Amino acid sequence: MLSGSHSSFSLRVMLQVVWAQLLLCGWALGTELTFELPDNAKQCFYEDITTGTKCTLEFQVVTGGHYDVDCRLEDPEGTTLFKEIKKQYDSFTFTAAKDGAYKFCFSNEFSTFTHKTVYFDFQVGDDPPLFPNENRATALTHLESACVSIHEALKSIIDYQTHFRLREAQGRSRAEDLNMRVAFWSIGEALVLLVVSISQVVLLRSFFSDKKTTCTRVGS
Amino acid sequence: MLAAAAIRVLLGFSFKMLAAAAIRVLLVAAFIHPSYALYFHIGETEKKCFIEEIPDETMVIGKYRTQLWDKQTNSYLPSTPGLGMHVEIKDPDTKVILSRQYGSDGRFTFTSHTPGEHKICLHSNSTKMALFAGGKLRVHLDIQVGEHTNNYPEIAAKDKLTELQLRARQLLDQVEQIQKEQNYQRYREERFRMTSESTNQRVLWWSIAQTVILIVTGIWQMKHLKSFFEAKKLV
Repeated sequence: MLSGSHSSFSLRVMLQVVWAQLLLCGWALGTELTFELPDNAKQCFYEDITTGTKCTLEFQVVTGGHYDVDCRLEDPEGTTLFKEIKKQYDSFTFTAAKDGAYKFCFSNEFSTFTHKTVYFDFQVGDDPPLFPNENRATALTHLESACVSIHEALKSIIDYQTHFRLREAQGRSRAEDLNMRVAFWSIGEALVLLVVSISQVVLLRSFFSDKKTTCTRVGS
Repeated sequence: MLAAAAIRVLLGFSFKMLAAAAIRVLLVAAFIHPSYALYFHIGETEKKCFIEEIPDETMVIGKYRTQLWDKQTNSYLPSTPGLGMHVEIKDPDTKVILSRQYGSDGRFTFTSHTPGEHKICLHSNSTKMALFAGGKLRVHLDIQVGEHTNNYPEIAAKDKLTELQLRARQLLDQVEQIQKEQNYQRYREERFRMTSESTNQRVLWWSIAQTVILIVTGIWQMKHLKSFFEAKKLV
């Protein structure tokens, strides 16, 4: 009856969702994170990658000091695939040759008191497909391939926007720093000026007060 | 009575089917761990913070899974009962918008109401010190922002969209995100411009004030010393 058909329909929907999730699980997703790296600290991230997957790691230092950080990428056996010292921004693409946990670390150990904010984007494999595609044997229609190319173009726009936003954040933090420093320095310098000029006069007065007593004694 | 019994059997049967399907779903979900791909290690009292700079009205979904190092088997246990993570999310005005305890696996979501830097902080709340004897906790984390939070197969199933309609929907979501980000960019540029203009003003006023103070103190010094020396009959 109605309830029966309803339950079978929701069952179908549930199964479709499960099937889609199953397929999704097979594809690894990309991660982009922004985290704080305190001074003298090292932060490592790991990811399990299967052989043959094309991966890209890119990072950018957002705030802090000279905007540089050490980066190092190692494969499951410990071989260093990528190593950069004091880099502000870099990007590295590689194809995984072995199965296992790949490790990449960001190090701020060379800095004594500035803590840094680092952004990184680690893309593993391709994007998950939109549909549980049973009909991937047939080629994409003209419209569908146009959609795919628009999607890729929009993705690169979003990527550029992110990098622009990070650079703008850098510029803005420097400007706010400068603003604060100018305020403190101007007040401080005005105070120093006043103190120095008053103490100059007081010192001169003290010289002449002493000389005056000796002079009068000599005079008389 | 027979009809009632028949209806009961039918209901029971459909219920059993539903239950069977639910069990199947759970089994599948349990077997295949969702691939929160990236993981890192966290100490017991360590707090790890992540920053998300997002425009307003953007949804953020975070998922994490924890694994504890087991000394006996010398490996990470698949799941740890009794170990939870405390999640705290602050908005750009450092006001706490979410502060909750989750279990060993957790999923948190929030929507930003002001544009800016939101801070997501995680730390473990192990009640038993013995749990952490191994030293490290492995945390799998996945944070998705904006249009990445949309689950397209689910949307397709719910709204019954064709493939082309789904692709159009995805493109629309992406373009909407780009628009929001551009709007946020305009707001940030305005803040930057205000900061620069304030610095400019401050430097201008400070240089004028410095010159005035210099001249005034110079004149005061000369006058004072002149009167002082005249008083001392040295001039």
